[in-house]
Amino acid sequence: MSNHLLEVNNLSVSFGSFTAVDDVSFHLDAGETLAIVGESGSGKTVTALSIMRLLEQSSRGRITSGEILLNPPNDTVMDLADLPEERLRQVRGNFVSMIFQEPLTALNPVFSVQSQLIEAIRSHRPVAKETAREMALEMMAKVRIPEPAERLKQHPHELSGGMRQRVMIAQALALNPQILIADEPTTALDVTIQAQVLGLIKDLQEEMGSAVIMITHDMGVVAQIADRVVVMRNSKVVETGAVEQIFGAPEHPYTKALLAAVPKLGSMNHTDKPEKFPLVEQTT
Amino acid sequence: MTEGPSPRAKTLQRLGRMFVIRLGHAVFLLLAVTIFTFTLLHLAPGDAAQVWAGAQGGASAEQIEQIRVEYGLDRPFPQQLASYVGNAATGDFGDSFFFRQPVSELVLARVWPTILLVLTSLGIAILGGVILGVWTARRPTAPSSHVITAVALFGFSAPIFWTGIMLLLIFSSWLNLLPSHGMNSVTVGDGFFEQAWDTFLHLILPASTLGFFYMAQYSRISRVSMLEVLGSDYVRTARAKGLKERSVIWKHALRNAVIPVVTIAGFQVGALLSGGILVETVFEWPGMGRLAFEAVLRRDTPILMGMLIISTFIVIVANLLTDVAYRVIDPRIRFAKP
Repeated sequence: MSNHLLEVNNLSVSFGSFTAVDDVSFHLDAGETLAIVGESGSGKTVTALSIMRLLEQSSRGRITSGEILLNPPNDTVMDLADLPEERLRQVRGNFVSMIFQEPLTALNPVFSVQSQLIEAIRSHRPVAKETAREMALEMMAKVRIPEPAERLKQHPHELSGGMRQRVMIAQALALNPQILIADEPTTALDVTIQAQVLGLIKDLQEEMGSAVIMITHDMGVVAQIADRVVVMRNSKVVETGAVEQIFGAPEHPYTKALLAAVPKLGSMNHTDKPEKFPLVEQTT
Repeated sequence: MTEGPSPRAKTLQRLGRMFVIRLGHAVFLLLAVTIFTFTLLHLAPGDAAQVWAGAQGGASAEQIEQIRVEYGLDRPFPQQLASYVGNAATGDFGDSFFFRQPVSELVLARVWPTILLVLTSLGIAILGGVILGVWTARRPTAPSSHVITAVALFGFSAPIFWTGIMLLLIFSSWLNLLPSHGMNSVTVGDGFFEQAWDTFLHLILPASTLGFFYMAQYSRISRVSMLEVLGSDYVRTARAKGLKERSVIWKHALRNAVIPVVTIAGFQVGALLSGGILVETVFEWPGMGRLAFEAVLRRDTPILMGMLIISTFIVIVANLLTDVAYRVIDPRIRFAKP
């Protein structure tokens, strides 16, 4: 294996007879941001969940072939696709963390923010409850939550959507993982909060040095945050490249169509109504 | 800026307000049940004085009239009702026609065995039902889950008295492991622990009979609820942060899945009290159920009335406890206005 932090090689995932991810390969280097883009159903979320191995229990998905090699510094290389459950548990939240699309439902409604954060910390670090609480408080301040001590005592339903996503980010980054997987973290938020959350992820990434895999269908997000891009369609990777290359000289017709679908400010001047953007043939 | 009350103080304030409101409801409900059942029993055909006189081997018209006067049955209905409600408010439910003893004494002597039986059965039903429900939800297609579902359905479909008789036959008659009837053996000593152990042995069969019947319901409800919760985003989050599977299931998932179970448990205390009548009869358990059953046969209306009021009170208390349990389990309800 080369020096990549994460290397996904020929990964295929099936739900029964349906192949949701087909022979997908990409890599991620330390500190970089990789965007996986594609339309709904293209397999990007399933790819992300496979890295965390979260498919088996929740949706009966199965990795049928391929490897997911994690190469953490000061540790041995491990194949997440083939890791026993207990070892996998130590990786989740500790080496690789994940935040989800729906902040409103991603936190457990019956436990306080404090207890959920403390639990995340203490499940990987042998620290006293009070120390974990201080770490949680520090993370709450880091994700720019106002009055963090007060918020910590509250329950998720007392917080707004943007605030809950910040709590999710605090929880995910509490143990300074090498990789943060963000599965459409801004889709459920309104536009101003979207920008704030993206900015926060970017800032924390620089501060903490984590690598980020950003799953999105929004090319605007890609342009704002990504170093490299993996374009997925119909369960396969259709194009991979640096963000400048993807935006400057896209090769695949689907990537071109995705970029063409981004509305541009002022593009409707001198027209009566919005124009349809070009569709891509299913066969391309 | 002035500081408001702390969250704990606010929670206690809300709980206090809830208690006061519920107490008002409870008084109203008890009054309504008392008036309603008193009226119904009054409207029922037949004359309690005649039935009672008949049970004593017959009596003359004068003697029957004397009984009427003695028990206030000769007074106009509104007067009887008003005096009953007034007395009941002070804990006086009149005297039993048959036992010629205060109803409150008779019922109080039997209410504890019933509460012991009902609570133990409820404990068996909830604990067993939830464990089986979680087991089958985690392995919905496994053969063990199908077996559990089949046994649970069988348990629920079989009549309580049949299950009771079968358990009696197996564990008491054939295997001779457990006592067959009553609450204490005649030969038991005076020591507290000796008596408690003896009562425990006597309790196993009736509580299991009643518990198994309701366990089937709880296992089905917990299974459905757990299946839904296991597919939720917060369970995925719990796994994503690297929690042990034990903690994901028994802490994060169960606390959410158990809410419908609590709802049903609150309702079922009433059903358990009536189900208890059959079990108490089969196992000769000296509880309220048997007293009620015999009071119906003897047309002992003061006992019936007293039992109904006390049963209503037990159901009200159970529902109040359910409300408190909701608030402990789910903070979204805790912070809602009562």
